[in-house]
Amino acid sequence: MLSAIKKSVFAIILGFLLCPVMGISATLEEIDRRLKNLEGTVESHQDEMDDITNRFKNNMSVSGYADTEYVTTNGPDKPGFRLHHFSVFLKKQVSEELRFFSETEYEDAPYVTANSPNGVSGKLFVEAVNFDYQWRPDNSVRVGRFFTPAGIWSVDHYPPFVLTQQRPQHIREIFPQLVDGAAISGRHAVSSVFASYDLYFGNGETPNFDGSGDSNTTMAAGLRANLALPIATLFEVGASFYHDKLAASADPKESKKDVYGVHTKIELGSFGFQAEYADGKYEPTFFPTTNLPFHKKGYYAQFDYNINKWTLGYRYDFFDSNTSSAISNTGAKINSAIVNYHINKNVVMKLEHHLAKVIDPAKNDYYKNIVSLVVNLD
Amino acid sequence: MRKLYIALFLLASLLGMHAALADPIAVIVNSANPHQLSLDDVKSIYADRAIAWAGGGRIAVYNLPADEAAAEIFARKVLGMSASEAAAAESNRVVSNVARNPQQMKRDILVVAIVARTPNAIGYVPKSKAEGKPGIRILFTLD
Repeated sequence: MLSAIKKSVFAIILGFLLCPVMGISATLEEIDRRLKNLEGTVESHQDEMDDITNRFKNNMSVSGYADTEYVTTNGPDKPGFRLHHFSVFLKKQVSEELRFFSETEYEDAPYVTANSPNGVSGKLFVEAVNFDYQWRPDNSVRVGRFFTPAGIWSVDHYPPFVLTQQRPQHIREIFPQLVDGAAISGRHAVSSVFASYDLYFGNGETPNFDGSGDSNTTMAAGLRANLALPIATLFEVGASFYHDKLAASADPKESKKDVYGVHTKIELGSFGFQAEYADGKYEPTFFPTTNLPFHKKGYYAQFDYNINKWTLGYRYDFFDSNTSSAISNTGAKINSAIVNYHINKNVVMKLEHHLAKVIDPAKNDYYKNIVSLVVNLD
Repeated sequence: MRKLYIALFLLASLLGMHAALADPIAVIVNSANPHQLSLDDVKSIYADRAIAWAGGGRIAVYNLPADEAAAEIFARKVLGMSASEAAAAESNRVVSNVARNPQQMKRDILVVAIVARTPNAIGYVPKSKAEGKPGIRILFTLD
């Protein structure tokens, strides 16, 4: 009897002792079960997130930039406020390999109506509409309208990212601004040196970009080659070429055109340097006063120094629109001092002072000051 | 006594901040990725020059927001510029339609998770966020 009581007491004590352990075991099982449920939930959320990300990735994206300026000058441009650019970009990653890009620019906020299209001041202009097909990571083909791959500024010119609102004079004057055509681009790496090229064919220069064909007798062609060297923060050098046989109807002064240019861009710590040179040889066949060939020549050298949110810059810019004659020459030597204040990565305030000494003796030298606010609508 | 608590709190905050700033940056890839990359290679990737792995396949490039301390350290040490300058350069490439391999910006915890499940991905995070995490390999660290 006593033994039975002892056994019962022992069993009760054992039960008390084991109870928390069994409880802990049950709790651990519960935690394990909940953890597995949680993992399942996370995985399903991850799937949903991937779906949403992919859907967004393939959606049309809208971005752009806008800038407004206040100008004082005694030169050919108008002083006062200017709503300089409002550009809208539409982009779509159609597939992994195919990408669409377009840019429509409203310059000087034009007032466009059906009845007075010719009276519009400013510009409403489709600057780019193109498709990129990247068939390999380092090779792509672009068709449509695109900025001429030449030098640096021709492509890399958007106001939120460049030092000045005033582009160097020879840009768009020697190499054309745009090409309606096709370009093949490639890149090749040898060790840490990257060589890239853009080879393009197009309609050539026409007085009006109407996107509906070519008034030239032959196609224009061009090439841009660039080397990125593993020196400094950035060290790029390159050359550009362009050949265009212009139709007499396009511009009687410029019947055949061969252009070459060189460029370099260097960044070292807080210092930046960028320079371009271009020389265009024109062989007129319908030149009104003389049939002699002539050259357009231009170059600029630009320095900048970055300190926190400030960028200080200087540029020397030269352009000669006809090296054989100073008469009716639109070129000048321009010295520019520039201050940029980057409010954040999308907003820049710029203060610029440009002092121009013109080549044509019949025209006056002039200055131009610009205060601007530039916003990247990313 | 209250002043002492405040002083201790501030001291602890400063020490914590110092520890956070002192955390090295780990450049990470997926653990299945066999490639060894140098600092110059990583620079080429983040400068949009190298966009594919040697064996093929586009590199999925992950960046941190420019306002994070780790992004500043990475940009200074790898790209030789500030994080905001690096972000502006990437924006410029995208806006100018010349970006061949646009980067994606994520918080560090997500960069670790994404790189761990994406064989072609590369990213960088504070080393403490990467150490011991399954599915990733630390290429090198930046002190």
